[in-house]
Amino acid sequence: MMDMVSSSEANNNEQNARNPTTTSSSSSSPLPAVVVSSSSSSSLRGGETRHEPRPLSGIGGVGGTHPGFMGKHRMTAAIGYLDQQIQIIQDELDQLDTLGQSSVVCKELITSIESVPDALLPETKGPVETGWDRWFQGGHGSRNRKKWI
Amino acid sequence: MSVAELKERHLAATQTVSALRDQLKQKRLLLLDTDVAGYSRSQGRTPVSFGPTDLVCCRTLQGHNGKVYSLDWTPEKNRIVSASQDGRLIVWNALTSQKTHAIKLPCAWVMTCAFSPTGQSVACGGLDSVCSIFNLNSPTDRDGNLPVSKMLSGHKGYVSSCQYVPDEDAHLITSSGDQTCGLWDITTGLRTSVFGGEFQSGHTADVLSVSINGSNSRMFVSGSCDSTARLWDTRVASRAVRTFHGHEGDVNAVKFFPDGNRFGTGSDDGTCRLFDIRTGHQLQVYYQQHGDNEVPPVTSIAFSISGRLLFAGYSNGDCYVWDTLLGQVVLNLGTLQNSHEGRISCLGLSADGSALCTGSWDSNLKIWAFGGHRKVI
Repeated sequence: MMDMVSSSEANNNEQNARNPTTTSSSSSSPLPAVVVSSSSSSSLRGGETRHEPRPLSGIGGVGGTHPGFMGKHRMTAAIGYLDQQIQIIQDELDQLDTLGQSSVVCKELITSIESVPDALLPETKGPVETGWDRWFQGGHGSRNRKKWI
Repeated sequence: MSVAELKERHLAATQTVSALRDQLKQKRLLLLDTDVAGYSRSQGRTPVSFGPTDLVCCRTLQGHNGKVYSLDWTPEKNRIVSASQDGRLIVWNALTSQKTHAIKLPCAWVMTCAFSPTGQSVACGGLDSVCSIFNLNSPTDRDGNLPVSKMLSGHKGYVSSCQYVPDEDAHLITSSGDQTCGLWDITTGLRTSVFGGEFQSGHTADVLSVSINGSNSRMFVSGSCDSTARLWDTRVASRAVRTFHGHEGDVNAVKFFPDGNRFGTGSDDGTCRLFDIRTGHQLQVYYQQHGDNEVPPVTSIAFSISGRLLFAGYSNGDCYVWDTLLGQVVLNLGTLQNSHEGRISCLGLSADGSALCTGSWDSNLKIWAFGGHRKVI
């Protein structure tokens, strides 16, 4: 969500402003079919002739409400897209056979974190850079360390 | 083939995708024998412990007349550029709190800004669908305004986020409400690559943020209203390297982990997550109830330089400091003395990791640093 402008103030690019997601985020839901639909929401205003592809969620969404609307070409393209998705997911499934478990990665993560000096931690690996405390020096280069409470 | 037959094929393909996706989810779950918090506890790690005056607000940068939407540090020294609802970019010296530039934008509806690697230019974008570049060394025009030195046009929707490719001032990556990301050559003003788009294997809704891998600048990650994050290789624009599922709402923020092998996300579902780019594993979910059963969206995230801390800004004004290893909140900057009076919309760490800058809807930016006693191991 982003609360940028009131609708009366926005310029005519507002029709491109964020729309909430129309697709389910769960990985078990179907991928959206990309269709042209005149019933889509704010991106098509009265008199607007530009057709924006709008994702439709749900299996029955394909041309369901407008049987003649989506042409064969677009339908074929949508099927091609889905076939591509199938291949991508299949490849990922095959890849999983060779992947290690998450514990291997977690071990690597701890090593990575603990190898880097970090100015914002109360306990950290060294070396400490002299510049880390510049935010508390009154005047440039002064050695006075003030507590900014 | 008739339309009816095509519809049948489409339905069958959709169902296959759904089934395969389920299979993938189950198979991945089997490989998640532990999350980061569980593993770290088993290795005897304890949460980071902050004293009450350890992390303090040591500067408040005042000057904007509207909500701050975005900020970015220079890769060197102490300068920050910020973008605000007031239609201006301000360049600050964070150490001295001085403003070095106040740039009035041709389009006031700005959403994002970025500092170039050399610190000589800044970029911004917003509802005008254009990314504008300003050279900070240019002479100002008659009205005292810095002229636009380049306009990167091509997106068909708002520019939500932009970042320069590290080590060079000549290329930048954008994310857009038109569901694509773009790689731009600033010298020519042309878009070199479009990531995603119609019928490409890209995002299926507005893209809200990008983050370039600091260790390998050919890789970047994007977050979208389609609830996924995607990893891209700039050499392969036609399809994402990997898509990361898990979030249940818009992914508002993405940020690469310092070691370049992982990245974090922040979402409308109120969680932050850590993903591994090589295996695709979701390593950790960072979620804590905020009280009153509310689950405020995460607006922005940043990692400390080692990655041990994850800073997350929420829409209710909280700014949780997560211990990334133990999966616990160790501090809330939103409740500290001298904190912001509104939502924290953007966060960023200085190049040396010694300071965090937060930008807020209260129109201020604040600098936070560690002022306590530091124990060196």
